[in-house]
Amino acid sequence: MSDRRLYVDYLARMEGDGAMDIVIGENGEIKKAAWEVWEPPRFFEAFLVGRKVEEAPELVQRICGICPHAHHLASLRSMERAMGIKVSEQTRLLRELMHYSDWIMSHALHIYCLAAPDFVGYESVVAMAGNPDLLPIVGKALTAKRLGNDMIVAICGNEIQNRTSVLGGYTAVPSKAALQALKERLKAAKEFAYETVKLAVSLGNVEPYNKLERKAEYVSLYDPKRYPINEGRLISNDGLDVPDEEYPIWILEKHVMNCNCKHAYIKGKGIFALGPLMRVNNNFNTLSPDAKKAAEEVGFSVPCFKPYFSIVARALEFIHAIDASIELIDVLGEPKLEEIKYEYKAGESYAVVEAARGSAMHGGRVDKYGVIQKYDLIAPTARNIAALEADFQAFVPQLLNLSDEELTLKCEMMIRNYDPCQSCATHSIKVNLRREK
Amino acid sequence: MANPKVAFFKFSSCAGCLLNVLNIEPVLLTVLSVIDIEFFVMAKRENHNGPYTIGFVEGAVTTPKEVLELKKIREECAIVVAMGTCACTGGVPSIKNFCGMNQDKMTKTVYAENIYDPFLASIPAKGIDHYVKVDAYLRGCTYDLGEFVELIKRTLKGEDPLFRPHSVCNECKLKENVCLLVSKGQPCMGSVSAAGCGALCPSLNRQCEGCRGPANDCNAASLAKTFMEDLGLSKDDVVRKFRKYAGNTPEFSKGAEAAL
Amino acid sequence: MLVEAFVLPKADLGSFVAKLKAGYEVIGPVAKDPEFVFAPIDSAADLRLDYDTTILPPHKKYLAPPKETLMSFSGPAAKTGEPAASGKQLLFGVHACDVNGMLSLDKVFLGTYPDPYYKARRESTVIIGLNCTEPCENGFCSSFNTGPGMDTGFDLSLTDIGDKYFVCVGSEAGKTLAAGLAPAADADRIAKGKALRASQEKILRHVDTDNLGEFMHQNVDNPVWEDLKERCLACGSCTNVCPTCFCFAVKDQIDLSLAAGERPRDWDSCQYLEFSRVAMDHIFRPDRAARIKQRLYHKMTYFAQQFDGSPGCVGCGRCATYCIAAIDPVEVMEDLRDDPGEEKAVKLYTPPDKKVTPETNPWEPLPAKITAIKQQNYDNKTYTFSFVDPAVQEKYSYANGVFNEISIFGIGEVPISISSCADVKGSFDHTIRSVGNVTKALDKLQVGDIVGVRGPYGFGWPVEEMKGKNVLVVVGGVGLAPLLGTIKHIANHRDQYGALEILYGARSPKDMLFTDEFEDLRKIPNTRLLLCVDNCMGMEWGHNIGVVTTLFDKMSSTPDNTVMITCGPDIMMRFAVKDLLNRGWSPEQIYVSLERRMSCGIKKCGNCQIGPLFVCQDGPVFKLADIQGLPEAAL
Repeated sequence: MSDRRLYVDYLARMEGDGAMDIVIGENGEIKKAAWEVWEPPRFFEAFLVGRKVEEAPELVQRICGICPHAHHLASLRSMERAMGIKVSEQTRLLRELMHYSDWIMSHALHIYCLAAPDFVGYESVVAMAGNPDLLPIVGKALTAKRLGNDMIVAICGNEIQNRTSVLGGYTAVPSKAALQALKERLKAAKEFAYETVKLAVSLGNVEPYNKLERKAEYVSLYDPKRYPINEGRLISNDGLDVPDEEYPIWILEKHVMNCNCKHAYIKGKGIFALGPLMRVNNNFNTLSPDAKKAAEEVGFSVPCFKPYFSIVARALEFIHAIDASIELIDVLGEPKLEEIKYEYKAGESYAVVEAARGSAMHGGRVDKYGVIQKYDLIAPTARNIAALEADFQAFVPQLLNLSDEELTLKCEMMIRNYDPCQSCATHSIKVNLRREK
Repeated sequence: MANPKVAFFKFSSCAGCLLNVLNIEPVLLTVLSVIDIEFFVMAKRENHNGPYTIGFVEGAVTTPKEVLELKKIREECAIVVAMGTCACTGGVPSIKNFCGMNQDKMTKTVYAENIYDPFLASIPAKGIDHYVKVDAYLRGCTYDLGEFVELIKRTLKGEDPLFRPHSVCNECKLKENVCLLVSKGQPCMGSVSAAGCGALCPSLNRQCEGCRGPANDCNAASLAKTFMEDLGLSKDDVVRKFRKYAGNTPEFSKGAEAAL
Repeated sequence: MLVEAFVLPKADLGSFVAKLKAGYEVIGPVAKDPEFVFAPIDSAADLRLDYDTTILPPHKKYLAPPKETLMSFSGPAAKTGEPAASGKQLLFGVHACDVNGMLSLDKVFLGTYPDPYYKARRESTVIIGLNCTEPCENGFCSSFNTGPGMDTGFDLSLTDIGDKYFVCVGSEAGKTLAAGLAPAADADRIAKGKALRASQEKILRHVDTDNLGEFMHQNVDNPVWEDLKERCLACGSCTNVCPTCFCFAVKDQIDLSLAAGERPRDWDSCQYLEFSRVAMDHIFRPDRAARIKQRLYHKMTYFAQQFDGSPGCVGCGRCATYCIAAIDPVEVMEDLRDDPGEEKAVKLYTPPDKKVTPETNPWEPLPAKITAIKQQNYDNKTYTFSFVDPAVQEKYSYANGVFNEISIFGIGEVPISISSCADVKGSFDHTIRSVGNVTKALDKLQVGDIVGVRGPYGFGWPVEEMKGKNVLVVVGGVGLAPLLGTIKHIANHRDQYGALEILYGARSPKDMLFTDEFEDLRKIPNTRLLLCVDNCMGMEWGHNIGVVTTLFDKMSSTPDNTVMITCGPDIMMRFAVKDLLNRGWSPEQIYVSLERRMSCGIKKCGNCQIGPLFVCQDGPVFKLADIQGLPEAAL
C-alpha cells in the first residue's frame, strides 16, 4: 500500500494564497504535514526604511485587507512610544472602539462566511444562502457584518482602509448622533450574538471535533482590569509575562529541518499559538459579564485546548465586543475634534495589539527627523504555523479512517481554525517550495 | 440569457479589494442573482475553470509566476478589470521599486535566507496593464463600492461605465469642502488625483494621498513645486508623496522628478 | 427719483430675521472655519455678515445646484417623473458680485429654451443683498461695475452705515418684507453713498477693461498662455467657484433592475481634458493652454458677446483665492497688457437673435418609434423615426441641416443631424454610426422599438439665401448626411435654384454614404456629381483619387452668384475653405457646419462652445464671414 497524499493547491476561504500538503505513510505515520504559503512577499520592512514615521501606520494597513486596523494600531502605538507622543484619552477610546468594530466585522465574517460552511457541509456562504432554511441566518450574519462595517466607516471613513486615524489622533470624529444610532444597532445584535454562541457550540461540540485536543502554550496580551485589545502585557498560559514592547527579545524564529517555514518560539521555551481561543483562555475573567454567562450556559470553560472550538471563542468575543463597544460609546459621549500636534524625536520602540486572529506586533527605530531607520513587524498568522503543524501531527492519526476527501476537508478546517491571513504571514515565511510530483 | 460568469483573482496585495466585494450587503444578494461567481477562492471552496465573462484582478504583479498566471487570465476572460490601486498602478507594493535598495538587499532585510526559486523571485512591482490589456479600471485603495456596482450594471448592459477621470478637487468643491491645501496649508494631492471616491479623505479633514492614481492631464510637476515653495515640504517629502500609490505612472513620476 | 429706502437698526436684526423665517427658509453666510459658506440658519446669531467671500457662490449653489435631477424613468423612453417644486427660500446677505453673477446666469438659463428647474428656484427665491463696505482680499468688482454696491437684481439690499443698515427696496416682494421698518432719512442716504464710495476707493486690484473684447481677441497667441500652462493643474476649482460658470454634464444613473433610474446633471468644467471629447476619442482642446484661454476668454469677453453684454467676470476674486497654482486673472490681464500682441482689426461675434420658449419641458424627450432601418454602408445605418403621438409628429417640422437629440434613458443622449428632407412629412431620418454607448445601443434596436427624441435644434442650411443662385456642395465622408436633405429640397424646388454641383470625397469607396442614391442625384436637372476617394483600397473605382479639394480644378462652379455649403471633418472644411478663398470666393458666400461635443442642444451645458459661439443654437450651420477669425474656429 502506498502513501496517502492530501494535497490542496489553493486553499479556499482564507485570505491570501496558500497550499496544504500532507503525506501519510503506509502505517499511518505522518511523513509530511505542511502548510505552504504561496503568497508573494511585498517587502514592507524593507521599503518602510527611508519613509516618514507618519506614513508607517498608513502603509502597514495595506498588509492585510481583513485586519488592517490591527497593523495600523500596532504601528501607531509603537511609533508613538518611540517618539514619546502621548495621545488623548478620547483618542485611546476611539482606537479601542475602532478595533472592536473590526472584531465584530471579522468574527462575523470568519464564523459565517469562512468557517461555518464547512461545519454544515456547504462550499460557501453563497451556497448556504441557496438553502431556504439557512437563508435567514445568512441574512443575520450579513447584517452583523454590516454593523461592524458601518461602525468602522463611522470612525474611519472607509470599510477597509482607515482614513481618519493618524499618528497622534484623528482627523475627524464621529458625531454623537452617529454613535448613538450604532449603539441601538449593537443592542439589537446581542440576540444574534447569543444565537451565534449556541450555533458555534453545536458545530464544534460533535465528533470528531470535540475529541481533538492538544495542550499547548497559548500567547496573548493580558490586562487584569479589562479584556485586552490594544494594550496589555504579553503573556502565556505557561509562564511568559513581559511588557509588550519587549516582544523582539522573547519571540524568536528558527529554521527547522525538513520544514518549509521558520518556526516561532518563545526564548528559552518552545512553540506557541495565538488567536481568540488563546485570548479567551488567558483572559476569561475579563470577558463581559454577558459573554461569561453565555459561556456558562453552553458549558464552555477554560482551559480549553480544542482548536475546533476557536469558533466558540470567537462567538464569545463577539458578545464581548458588542458589550465593550456599547460601553465605549457611552463613555465617548460627544467626541470633539482635537488638534493633532507632535514633534519628531529619535527613538525605538515596539508594541503588540490583538488582531481578531491573534497578536500583531510592530515596531522600529526612527531618527530625529522622523525618518524610519528600521522597521519590524510580525503578523499573528505566521506565529501559528508551528502550532498548526503540531495540530496536523496530533490530529491526523486520529482521523485516518476518514476518506481522503473528508480528511482533506478536516485538515483544511484545522488551518481555518487559525483564521489565517496569508498575505500577512508571507513576509516571514521562506517561500522556497519545490513541488514533488 | 445566461448570467455572466465572473471570476476574482489575487496577486500581490492585501485582499482588501476582494473582501470589499462582500461589503455590498444591501445589494449583495441581488448582485449575486445577476452574475454567476465561478471562481472566488477566498469565499468559495468549489471553484470552476474558465472561460469567464469578467475577471476581476486584484494585486500588483511581483513574480514571474504571477506574470504567467496573468496572461492566462487575459486569455480566459472576455473582460479584464484591474481591481484596486495595486492592480491599476502597482500600489503600495510598488514602493519597493523606488526605496533605493536592490532586490538582494531587500530580501536580506526581510528574510534571513535568500529565496532561491527563480519562479518566485521578486521583480519590480507593476500594475497588471504593464503585462496585459485591461478593459476597465476600478481605482482606489480600496475602490469605491458605488463604482464597483456601476461597473457591474454597465457591463451587464454592454456599456462603457464612463468613469470620469477629472481631479478630486471637483468633488471637494461640489461638497463645498474647505480646501485643505489653500486654506489649511496641507499637502493634499487631490488636484492631481482621479476623482470617483467622493473626495472621501478631504471630507474627513485628511489630505488626499493620491491613492486612486493620477487624474487626466494632471500637472504633478506644478503641484510638486507648490508643495516645496508654498508649503515648505522638503524634496524627499515630495518624492515620497509621488512614489506611494502610483509611483509607476508617468504622471506621478513627473512629480517625483520635479523634486529630484 | 429716489429709490424707496428704509433703515434697520442692527439691534433689530434678530427679530427681522425671525420674521423672515416665518415665511421662508432663510439661507445666509455662516462660518466653516476658516472659510464661509451659505447655509440654512436657525437665527440671526448664526449669520456672519462680516464674511469676505464664500467657497461657492450662493446663487449658484441654490439656484443651479451642483447636482440636479432632471427626471426619472423606467425603460428607454418612459419618463416617470420630475423633481417636486422646491419651497420658498431666501438668500440673506448676498454680495454685489454674486447678485450680478446671478443676473448673468439668468441670461443663460432664462434666455432661449428657459430651463424649468432654474426658473422654478429663481421664482421662489428672495434675494436680500449686502453691499460691501470693506472690500475683500482678492476682489476687483469695481472694474466690471459689479460691486461693491449693487443697483439691481435684489428684492432688498442692505448697506452697513454704523449702528444700522440702510435698506434699499428693489421689488414689490422686497417692499412687503420691509413693512414695519422706519423710512430712511436724508442723512442715511448720504451715509450710504459715502460708505460705498469709500469702499470702492479701497479696492486696489483692477482689470483694465478698455476695449476688452478686441484686446482679448488680439492676444490669442500671447506667450503668457504658455507660461500659465506650466502652472495650471487642470483641477477645475476655478470654474466650480466662479459665479458665472454654468457648464454641466448629464449622465444617466440606473438601478440594479437595469431599466429604471434618473437623469441628473452635475457641474462640469471646461478645464477637464474630457470636456471636449467626442466619439472615437477625439478631443477638441487637448492642450491645457487652450483650456485656460477658454475660461479666461469666456469670462473677459465671450460671455458678453454671447449674452448681450452681460459680464462674464464679476470680479469676485474666488478663482484667484482658490487656485492652488495661484493663477490670478488680475495678474494675467496685467501681464497681457504689459506685453500685448499686435493691434489688428477684430470683429466680435453677434449671435443670431433667436429665442425659443417651448410650452413643455425642453429637456423632455418624446417617444419616437423606429419605422424602418436601412444599412447604409458597413458602419452606418439610416433609421426612420416617427413620433408615437401623431399630434406631435403632425406639428413637427425642421430646416434641413439641423439636429435632434436622440435619447435612450439609462444610457444618455446623442446629437445627430437629420438626414431626411424636410419636405417629407410624417417621419424623419437619422444616419448613425455606432461608436459610443448610445449609438451602440441604437445599433441593437429593431423596427418597432421606441427611443426618445427632442428637437429640432439649431440653424440649417440657408435655403432662402440660396434661392436664385448656383449652389456648390462640398462634402466629406459622413458629412453628406446633414446635406442630403438640402440637395433633395433643391431637387424638389428645382426652378428656384441655379446650377447644382456636388463634390463628394471620402477615405475609400466603402466609406461613402447613400451610394445607391447617386444615380438619382445625377438625374436632377442641371446637376453635377463629382466623386473622389483618398484610396480606392483595391476596389473598383471609376472616379477620382485624392482629397476632395483636388476636385476644385475639375468643378464648373465659380464665385459668381454662387453659394457654397460644406460639411465634413474639420480639417477637410478648413482646407476647402482656404482653397476657395484663394480662388476668389468670399466668406459671405460660404457656409460651414461645425461640430463639437454637443450635449444639451439648447445652449445650457456649455460643452459645444467654439470661442464665443454655441454650435448647438448659433449653428450648427454658420456663414463663414460671421465666424472667420474667431479664436478656436480655425477657419
